[in-house]
Formats: sequence, C-alpha cells, structure tokens
Amino acid sequence: MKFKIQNMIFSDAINNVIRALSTKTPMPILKSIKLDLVNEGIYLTASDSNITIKQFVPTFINDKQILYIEEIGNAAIPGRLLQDVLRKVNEEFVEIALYEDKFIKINFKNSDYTLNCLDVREYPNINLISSNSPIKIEVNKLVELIRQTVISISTNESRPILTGVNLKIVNNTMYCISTDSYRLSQKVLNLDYELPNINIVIPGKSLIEFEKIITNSNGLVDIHLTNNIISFKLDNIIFQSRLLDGTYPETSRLIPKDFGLIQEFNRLELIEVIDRVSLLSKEGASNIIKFDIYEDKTIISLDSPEIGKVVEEIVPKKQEGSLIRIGFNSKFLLDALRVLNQENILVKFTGEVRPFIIKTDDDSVTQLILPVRIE
Amino acid sequence: MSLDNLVKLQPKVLKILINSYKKDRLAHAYLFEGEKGTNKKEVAIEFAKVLYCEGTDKPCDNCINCLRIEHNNHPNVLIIEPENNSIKKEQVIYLQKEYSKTTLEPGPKIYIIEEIDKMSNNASNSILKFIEEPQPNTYTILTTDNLHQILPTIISRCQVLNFQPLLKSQIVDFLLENNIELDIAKIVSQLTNDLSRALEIANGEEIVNVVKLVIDIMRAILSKNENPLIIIEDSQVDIVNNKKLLELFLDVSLIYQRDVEHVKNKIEEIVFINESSFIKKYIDNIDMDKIISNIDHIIKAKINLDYNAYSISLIDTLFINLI
Repeated sequence: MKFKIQNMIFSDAINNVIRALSTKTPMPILKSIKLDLVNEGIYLTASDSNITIKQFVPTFINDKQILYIEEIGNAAIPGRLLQDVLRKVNEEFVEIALYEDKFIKINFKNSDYTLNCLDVREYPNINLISSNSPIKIEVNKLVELIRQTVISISTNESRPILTGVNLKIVNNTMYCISTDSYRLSQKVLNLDYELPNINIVIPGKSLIEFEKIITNSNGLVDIHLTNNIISFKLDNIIFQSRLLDGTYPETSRLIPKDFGLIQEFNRLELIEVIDRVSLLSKEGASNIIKFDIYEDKTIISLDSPEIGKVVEEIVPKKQEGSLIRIGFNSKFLLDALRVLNQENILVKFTGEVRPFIIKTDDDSVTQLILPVRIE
Repeated sequence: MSLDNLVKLQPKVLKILINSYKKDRLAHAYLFEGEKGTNKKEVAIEFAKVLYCEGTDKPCDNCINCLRIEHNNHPNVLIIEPENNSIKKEQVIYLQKEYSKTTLEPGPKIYIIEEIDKMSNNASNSILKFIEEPQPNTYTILTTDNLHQILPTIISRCQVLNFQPLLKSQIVDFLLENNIELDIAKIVSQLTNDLSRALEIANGEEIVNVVKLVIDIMRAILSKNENPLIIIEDSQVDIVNNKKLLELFLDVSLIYQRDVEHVKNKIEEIVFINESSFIKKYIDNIDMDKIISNIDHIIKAKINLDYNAYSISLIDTLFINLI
C-alpha cells in the first residue's frame, strides 16, 4: 500500500472516524485505524467493537485530485499516533506507505516517521451491510427522532435491554420506543414504502454518538438493519452499531387512551416555570414537584425539607376535565418538554396515580411519565 | 502450547472436552480448577480456537481466527484477567455490557474469565445472572486455582473440570531435556508446577547463587561452625534488598529443611541430592522438634514477606530463631 493524500482532507476523515476508536480495550488491534486503499479512493475504519465508523475519501473532490495512489492494499495504523502526527505537521501533502507488512512510513517534506503496526488481517471482519431495502430518512428528522427517544433510556445496567431504544417495523409503520420503567418515549413514523417487519434494540449510547456526528449535516440517511447490526449511511460515512441481545418489554398497552383532564400550555413558558421551581431540588435526590390544578390556575410547587419551598402559579391556555393533584419527577417533564419542537403542548392526565402523557400537534411523538404518590 | 502437548499434560480434561465437542454437547459454562501452572488458560484458549478455526485439522494455529485468538484480537472471544491481583469493577461492567450485546462477527460468544476467585462476591453475583440464564451459542470458561473461595452458586452452575498437577518427575525430565543440571532441576521442580516458569527459573542467574547460599547457611546452622548472618553479609547475593531473591531464598531454604526432616525420619527421597552425606553426618546435632520449629519459622517469614515486612528485621528474626 502506498499513496499520497492532501493532509487537510485526510485529517478531517481521521477526525471523523476516530470518535469510534477505543481508548481502553482488551483488543490491541482496535487501537488502530484500518486503511483500505482501492482504485477509487481510500476507506478509513475505526471501531471499539460496539460502534464502527467508516469513511470513504474519493480520489477526486470537485474535479480536483486529492489522492494519488501508487499501490493499492490495506493496513492498520495506530490511530491516535497518526492523528497527532498529522496535526503537528503543516504541509499540504502526506505520503503513507506500508513496508514489509510491519511498518508504516509517513513522509513529509522534511520529516519521516516509521511506525510499527499490527497485522491488518487481524482487524475484526466488520461487514458493513447494505441491504436492498434501507429505511431512508432525512437527517433533521432522524436527529429529532433520536433526541425525542434517547431521553427515556435507562442508565442502570442491571437491566441492559432498557439501555437501548426499541425499533419495530410492523406493517410499514416504524415504532421507536424507550423506557426506564418510570417514563416512556415513543415515536411513530409511517413509511410510505414496503419494508420487512423487524424488532430490534439499539444501544442508546450508540444513537447519542451518531446524533453528534450527523447533527450539522443534511441530506438523506440510509438505515440498514439486520438481527445483530444496524448501520447508518450518510454521504461517505457509514456508522454501525452492535445491538442489544434480548426481548424488549411489550409497551403498547402502557399508553392510556382516555383522559380525565387535558391542559394546554405554551411550551417555553412551562419550561421556564418548571426550571425555576426545580432550583430547589437536590442534586441526585428525586425532585418531586406537585401540580395543584384549579379551575382558573395551576399551582406548581416543590417542598424540599432540607432546602426550602417554592410555589409558582401558571394559567393554562386551555383546560378541560376534572381537577386533580399530582406529583412527579420534574426532570422527566423538563427532558420531555425540551425535545419537543411545537409552540404549544398538551398534558393529558388520567388520574392522580395514573401515568400521564405529553402530546403536541405533531402526533408522531408521545412522552409518558409515571407520577408518584403524594400525601 | 499446541493441543497435542496439552493432551499429554491434561489427558482427562482434554478427553472430556474433545468428546463433548465431537458429540456437540458442550456445556455453556465450565469451571477449570487446578493448581497454578496446570495450563488452564491454555486449554481455554485452545477451546476457543477449535470453535473458530477455519482449517481442517482444528486448531490449525495458522488461520486468521486462530492467530487473532492467540493475540487476543478476536472480537467475539473476550479474555478477562485480574489487574493487580483482583478483577476490577470496571472489568465486570465491561463484561456485563458485552454479555448483553450481539456479536460483531457471526459466531459463538466465548468469555474466558481467569482466576474467578479474585472477583468480589458482589461481582460474582452479577456474573451469575448470565451463567444462570444461558443464551444460545455463548460459552463461559472460568478458571481458578482456589476452588474454595468461589461462591457455591457459581460452582453449581458450571461443569467443573479438575486439572491434574504435573508430576515432579515430569518437570525434572523436562528440565533435563533443556540441559539443566540434575541438582538444580530437582530443586526447581519443587518451586513451581508451571513448565515454562520452571525453565525460566532454572535458566535465571539467581538460582545457582541462591542455592549455594542456602547450602552454606544451612550447613552453618547444622554444624554450628559459623554464624549465618555473617555468611549473608559476605555473600554476593543481595537477599536483603531484593524481595524476589529473598522469596526464592526462603523457598529453597524450606526445601532444604524438609530434606533434613526426611533424613531424620530415614526417608530416602531427598531433593538436595549432593547434600545427603553432609546432612547425615550432622543429623544427630538436631532433634525432631527443632527441625519442625525451623520449618515453622521459615513459613512464618514467607508470610511476613507477603505482608511487606522489613527485610532486615525479617532475616535477623529468622536466623535468631534458626540457630
């Protein structure tokens, strides 16, 4: 393998894939970035075995040649070291070549590195799948989907399956569900094309990582699914994650359908109020706020015996139904409100000790919160 | 180590494993139990290789899967070993996460956890959950040299395989094949059960000097001609400042004392073969109670050394007690 490439473009590609490189791994080979040089360009792959990022850099970008290939082939290069070397050198082109399958030479005009590298054949055989029927979704929609669902994943490893987002396709409808058993987020998208039914659980952390990568891009993302791997493809970047093994709990009956009380609020106004009230909640402790709902106003209060007490009034834009008193974790409500986009939101209660949901004009998303008993 | 060599060393265990493999009746969890140096880890790794090998004569040690397992680079084969003498919480969390995920490449998941006794009870219990509810195509191999420190709940969920320690004569023969002198080979065979470790000690510079020092000192104590502390002062071997040497010195001393005890009780078998006539000459100088108390004092010194006792006072105390 031997090639010359424009430093800036190569560094950018390295910076993209290096997010997946693991710092602490029992597998020495995963500290390397894999380079695959083919006639059309170069593929860079980095992985921590949970997530894998692969990027393609073509020979020509905008009709300008940025990559000169002398000999195709592949190699595994120590990732962090390569990044550091490229960062410190201020030259337009870098020349990289593999010698005797054991050494990588990185040449600039005046400097010359020889790095030891591992046998590239030992790199995990990561099949980046491309099924015939990917789910196609716009970047901004996917970002919204991820943000609206990952808030409810569990952080407790004792039930690993709940640390993921359940993705189901049933009769061309896609359901994304997450719950930590105290709250639940659900996003439903109708797909206007034929797709096979599937039911998988994607690790929440992988989704959060992927969201960071695509958040400033636009275009269409292809999602390829199999029973043990999900991969997202956007332009020249492929992001892949392993899945969680196991069956996700059945959640369809948890979301109530009949409501005794519906309130409508301005979303930002409600966020501000809840934010102010939660100032008195203690870090780490459960921060239970109370809604005392009257005909003309709703009193939101928080009573923390060690810190103090706060009471605030808010007048809903609309209200319909029987009056109740309900208490719940303020963080759950804040998380749910912050990931919604519409101006107005509906809070739909079923009873004082029954779950309530938050809806907007956008019917695809549902946020559910379980209340706690208050005296 | 190749499978053929392992079959020679651990015929029983390998027979059980190979038969279960051929009949497709492998257990989902094994507990490999046996002394240090009985090749438990090596057998576990060969086990993984056989399941993944692409060659015809499994394991071929040549295909990419065999090589990756050998270099700990196979994504589906996870080996956890204690760091600084204990299995850390992060390692257990990592393991839990691995258990809950699908595999990166197609194939079985294989987890090898070494020295499971070095894991806290809490951690063992969280592992227990995964062993209890085996997922298809997942194999867990636990190894230990201390079966009694393992939770009974863990043991009851594994198939326990006992690894037989090597015969001392096997180690001596192995060392002789590698051009080690018979007297050193006999002593080293008492120090370890691990062939490669034995060869390492026997080839090391220290062993000859330490053995000479032990002989000088023990002769001095037996014949009561010289003060052992002066011998240590004059010796080239720096057991005072080098903990490893001191440890080796105590181990070898213990073997010598046992020889003295054997001579006293007229047992023919002794390790220091060249010392036999000297010990016999002076054996009436020392009575049985004294020999036993000497052995006790050396063992005590070994324990104190493990607790990082100050070496000068440790040596002084030991010799005051031995003289």
